[in-house]
Amino acid sequence: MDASAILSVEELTVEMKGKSGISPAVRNATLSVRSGAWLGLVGESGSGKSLLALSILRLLPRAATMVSGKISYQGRDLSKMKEAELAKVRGREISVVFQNALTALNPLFTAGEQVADVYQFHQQASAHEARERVVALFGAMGLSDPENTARMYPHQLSGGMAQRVMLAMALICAPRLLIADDPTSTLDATIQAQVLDVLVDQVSRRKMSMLLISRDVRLVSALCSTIAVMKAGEIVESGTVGEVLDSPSHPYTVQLIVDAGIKERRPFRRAQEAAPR
Amino acid sequence: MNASTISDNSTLSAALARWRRGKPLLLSPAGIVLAVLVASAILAPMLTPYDPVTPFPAEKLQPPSARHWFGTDPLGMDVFTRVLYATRIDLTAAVASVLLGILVGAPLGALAGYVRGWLDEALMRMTEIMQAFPQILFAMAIFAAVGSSVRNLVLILAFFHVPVYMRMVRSSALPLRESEFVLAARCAGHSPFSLVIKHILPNALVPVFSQFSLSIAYTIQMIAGLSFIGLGVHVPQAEWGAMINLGAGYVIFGKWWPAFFPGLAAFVASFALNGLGRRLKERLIK
Amino acid sequence: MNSSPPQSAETPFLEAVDVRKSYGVHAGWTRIASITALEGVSVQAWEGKTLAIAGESGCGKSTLGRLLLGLVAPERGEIRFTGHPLGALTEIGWRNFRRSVQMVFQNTLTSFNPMLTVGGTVADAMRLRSDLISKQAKMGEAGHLLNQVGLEASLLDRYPSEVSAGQLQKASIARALATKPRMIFLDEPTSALDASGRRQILDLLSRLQSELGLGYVLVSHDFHAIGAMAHHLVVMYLGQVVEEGPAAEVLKQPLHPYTRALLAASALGSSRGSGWRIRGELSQLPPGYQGCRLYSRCPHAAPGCRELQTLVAVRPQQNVRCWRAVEIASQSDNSERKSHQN
Repeated sequence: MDASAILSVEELTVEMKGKSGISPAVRNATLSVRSGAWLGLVGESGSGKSLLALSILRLLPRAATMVSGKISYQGRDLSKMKEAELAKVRGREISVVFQNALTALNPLFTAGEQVADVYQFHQQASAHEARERVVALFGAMGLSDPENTARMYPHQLSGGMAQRVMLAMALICAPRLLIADDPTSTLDATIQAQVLDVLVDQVSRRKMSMLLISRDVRLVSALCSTIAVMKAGEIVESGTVGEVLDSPSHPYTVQLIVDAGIKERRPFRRAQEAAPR
Repeated sequence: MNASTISDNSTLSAALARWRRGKPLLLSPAGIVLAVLVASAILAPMLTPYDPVTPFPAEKLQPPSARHWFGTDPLGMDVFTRVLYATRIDLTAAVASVLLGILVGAPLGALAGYVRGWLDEALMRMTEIMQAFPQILFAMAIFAAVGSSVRNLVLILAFFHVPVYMRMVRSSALPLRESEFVLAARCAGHSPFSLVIKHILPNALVPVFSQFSLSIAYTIQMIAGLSFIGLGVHVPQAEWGAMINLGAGYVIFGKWWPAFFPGLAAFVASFALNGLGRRLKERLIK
Repeated sequence: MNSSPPQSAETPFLEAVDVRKSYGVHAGWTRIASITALEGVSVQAWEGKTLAIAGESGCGKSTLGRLLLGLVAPERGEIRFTGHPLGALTEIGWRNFRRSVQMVFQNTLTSFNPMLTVGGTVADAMRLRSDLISKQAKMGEAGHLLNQVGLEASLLDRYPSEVSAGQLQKASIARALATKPRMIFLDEPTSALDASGRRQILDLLSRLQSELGLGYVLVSHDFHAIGAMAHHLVVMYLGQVVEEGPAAEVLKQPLHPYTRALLAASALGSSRGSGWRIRGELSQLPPGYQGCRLYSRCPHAAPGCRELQTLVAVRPQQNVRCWRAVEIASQSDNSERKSHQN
């Protein structure tokens, strides 16, 4: 096990119960995220990458069970932790951002309330203090008029705003690791670019580690330093982005690169200010 | 997301699932129970030596015994015989009236839901009028006008089911109007009518499967209520609801059997129909 | 917008001419607010060529699609099929129109009737084929069509839920081919697919275009697909065409700030126009506002942008609805040259 790894998954196997019986959705998956680094987990839909991510924080759906493997966070075995202890890790040390914010947010509470709730659960802060932090964070997320946004209900938010609220919820307790499960694919292209700007900005500013899950190889290659390729529940290849994309060793990786049309790789450049008028 | 392509066909549960899927409907537990009920109704004369309406005054309220399997009721009639003969009326009348209600209500509902406009408004106002009638009073009025018979009973009960199914099918047809396969069918040159029949109606019938067994159970209660006041099924003809009504007052005296067995029969029938509806739904809804 | 009829030898197979379409939306108890989905939009689609329409949600491309397919009528302007307005078509003309223009949808699963088999759906699409009457004949043809798109005939008996998304999309194309159309409207055909599925569909569509001479109207936000297939590209924003021209030209040198932002967002890491962003979210326009609709979000907004903007030919065939387009283009060329020098 890599000593500098903040998260280490070893030989993880997850089984899914379906109509035709039990099938392995994740098979002996091994990956690690180094402290401060960003790992991109790439695969098609159905490859098991979301299940892998969910199993890290024991958020698997009822039909899925983790049958073997070890998940270590900073040396502690997450799979053996009691639920109460794990609850303290979720949101405080490791946070998750999901694909569709509008379904991940509770429609009965305002955006501000939900984010403040997370903060108060972990930090024992007063409601007033929590609210101030939330508004400040909303501002940092690029939400115009953060005070007003905090008072809105999820259905009043646009897709991009909701995604940013979810990001704020994930970051408010300053976790060390962020798991982002396809956080922008439901958004329009220009909004996607905005939200990714914010994501990249915030995560790098806080020097966090990130596990980014995506179907888009180009996105992962632009943002991450290491990559793991997943197919049908197995991790077929992993390594630094340079290694894997310039000299892939598995035929599936080759196919992925060809299909994505990657001819040149450049790192993601955040929005530069437009030229003066 | 589509069905997973990873499946382990060698496990026992997978094999069982495949066997269950291929079996004809009749062999499912619900199907068997229903078949038994129907068979017992048809073969009633052969299954019991007694007459359903001949009273044995000397043997009133006898508990179940070798002579009277389900005991006797307050009038001395054999409960077992009456339960069997009642199955004929209850099952046929209830099922027939609900089916009739669906046959009339569902297509109209699908049409209303797809076409909208004045036709939809007119049909909806009609359902509201139909549902505003106090049912028992309405039935009494109709029976007084056209006479009391099982056929009229079925027709009146169907009248109460039509608006229910019309509304139900309409509400599931409404979102279907905008679905892409309906759009594709329009592009293929379907007229609104053929669209409703071929594409809207089959998909809009989905909630009907869960509902119809509830309707049948409710109809049995309605039949009981009507026969209690002398409409539809005349006393002393055997009918579950009437039997329950008659026997209900004796339960506190410890004579449970006159009410229990017809109640059990009604329950079993509803339960089996519910199960059948569920199986049917699984089979037909891909 | 110049309204004299084109003097070209060919008329477009399908076109929208200065169409306007709005919807009423409930705003409060009794008021109905009007949302203009399309304003003064004109596009042309030709046989054998692909017209791509790019834009994000709210731009009106779905509404334009419905207008082009004759599913709704425009309030102003008209849709012309081989030069004839749709509103003036006879019964026979309509059937011919329906036969000639078909559609492929975005969401594969919901575009199939869950109660019908794949074969049943494809056969159902042959209603207007006068040469096939019997069910057997239609099924036979359905099997043939499935083969044409690279699927096995065994799929005829499967239900949509039993088939993968990529295969279902191919079957969707087979269904569109059932009436032997001349043009197919493709509504985000690759958005629901993975990279390999996308590649297969794009290959298939290109092959069919060259084999059968089909015309396509491709509505997509996937610039990979647009780059691979489009001959002519139209970019829309909030109900207006903001830029149009030969696809290769527009993709290589986008002029309108919105096009640049869209391309930059889609490219994400490639060198083309990187760093371009537009701010904020889609917002309702103040009533009666005639100026540039991107005004509140454009990094280059200037007071003159609030005036009426029209499509202006900046290059021989490239039209842009932005009076500052050329100015911005030369500015960014300069700054890129400078950054290359450093």
